[in-house]
Amino acid sequence: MRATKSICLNMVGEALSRLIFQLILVFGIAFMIAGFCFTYLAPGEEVKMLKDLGLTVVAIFGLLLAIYLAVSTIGPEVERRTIYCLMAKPVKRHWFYLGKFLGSMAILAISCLIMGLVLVFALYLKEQAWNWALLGAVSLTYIALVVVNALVMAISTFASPMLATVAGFTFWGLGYTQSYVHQLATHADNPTSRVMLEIMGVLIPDLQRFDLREAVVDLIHVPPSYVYLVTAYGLAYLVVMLAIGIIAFNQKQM
Amino acid sequence: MIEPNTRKLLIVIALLAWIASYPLLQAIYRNPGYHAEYTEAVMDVRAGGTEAIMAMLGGFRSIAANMLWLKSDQYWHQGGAGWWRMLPVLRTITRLDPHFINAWDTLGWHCAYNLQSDAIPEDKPKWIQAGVDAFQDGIRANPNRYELYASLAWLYHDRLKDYHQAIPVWQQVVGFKDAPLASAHMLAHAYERTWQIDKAVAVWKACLAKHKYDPVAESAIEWWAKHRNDKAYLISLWQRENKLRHGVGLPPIPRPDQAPAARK
Repeated sequence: MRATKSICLNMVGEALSRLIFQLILVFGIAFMIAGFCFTYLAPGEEVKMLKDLGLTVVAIFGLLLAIYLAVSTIGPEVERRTIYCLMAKPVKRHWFYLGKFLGSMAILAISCLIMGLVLVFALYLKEQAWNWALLGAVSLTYIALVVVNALVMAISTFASPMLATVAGFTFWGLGYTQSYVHQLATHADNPTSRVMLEIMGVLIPDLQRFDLREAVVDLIHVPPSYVYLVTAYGLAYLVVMLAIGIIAFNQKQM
Repeated sequence: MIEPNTRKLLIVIALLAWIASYPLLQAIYRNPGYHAEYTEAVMDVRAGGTEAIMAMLGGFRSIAANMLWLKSDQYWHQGGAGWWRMLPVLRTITRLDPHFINAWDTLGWHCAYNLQSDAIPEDKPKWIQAGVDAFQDGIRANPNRYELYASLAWLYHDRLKDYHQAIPVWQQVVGFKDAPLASAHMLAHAYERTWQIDKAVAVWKACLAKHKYDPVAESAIEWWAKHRNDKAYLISLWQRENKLRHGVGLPPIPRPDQAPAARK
């Protein structure tokens, strides 16, 4: 466990000092601030637009970061052969994998928190009121990002970084269409089609369920039970992706 | 390398977690926090490939709605043909984001007022009905917001001068905690226009009791205390109302003292 902690902390320190992480964060914040320039074009809907844009920026830049972290975690270590130094020590592969994953989680948490706080502050300037509900929406987005990160990391153990990146974006896109798959399954007359659609719904998580943007923007009450269920749902997928990743990383010939 | 037993355990855990995700997702879909209308509104689009495109927008639907909102504003300022171009844009916005109150409100108002006035005479009733439909669709998607009820009531009250139809909608608006005081005033006015003066006075009194300082209600109560039985005054109000209705091509309403019989 100490090794996992060290790997995790080392990864956080390394990622924070990388230019690409700082650039993603700076661009994300810049986009949020740029939102102020567009709001005058949306009469009567300035706050809605700011919230929408801000939360979308968190999701998009968070996704970029999640995929980047996942593909730059295992692959480059193997390519540069730096992993062998660690493997020569009494560090089990799964602890190494877990450490890298926890490091990615921490970096994503830091970036989501920074972008979320900037958004809350930007809205405070507009509304003169602290809108902490936005941080709730950001936290569920964070869980979705961690799930994507776990998937891409698992794929990157046996596939090229390019393939893992494409898989990550595809997974995100398909995840957002799962609500429609569910609707189709509900309205399907043919039992076979319904079962096939239900299976598809289980294979790929419904990422839209982690998106509280519309509820926050349209001031719709979200019961805590919904947040707990979605969190549990995200954790279930996380466990699946982590287990697949650990097994695949252990099978890898190095 | 991982031990075989640990690997088996991991596979079992992964399978269990995967299986558990199914009932969890079903529980999410049954939870009141799940708003199916976002998905259903998009699924309801019957225009060929639009459905797929909208589904692809996924998480960026509301951003697309905001962009289209800017576009509709641009068309509004163009005037003329721009007013007609606004219509599909506003309809798409309400499909992309069914809780975009301002878009529903603008769509209903735009159909019932602007497009109606721009349309050929035989099409005018159709556009007013399109406005009513837009507000009703908006209310179905947002039953807990007073704004669209108020807009629908105002359309019945002002555009159609159908005060009987406006009254139940104004009553719904007044039922909302956050509804402005003016909606209660409008309910009282609708009662006055349908010659239900006792009910109107009761509403004015309720306004005064609730808000303490309401000079409009105060003067209305005072006014009706003086003119309640002034038949000549009621007739003059009736004539004024009919003149107004005639101006917008609506049929006259019966005289106040004949109104109940005429409605029968």
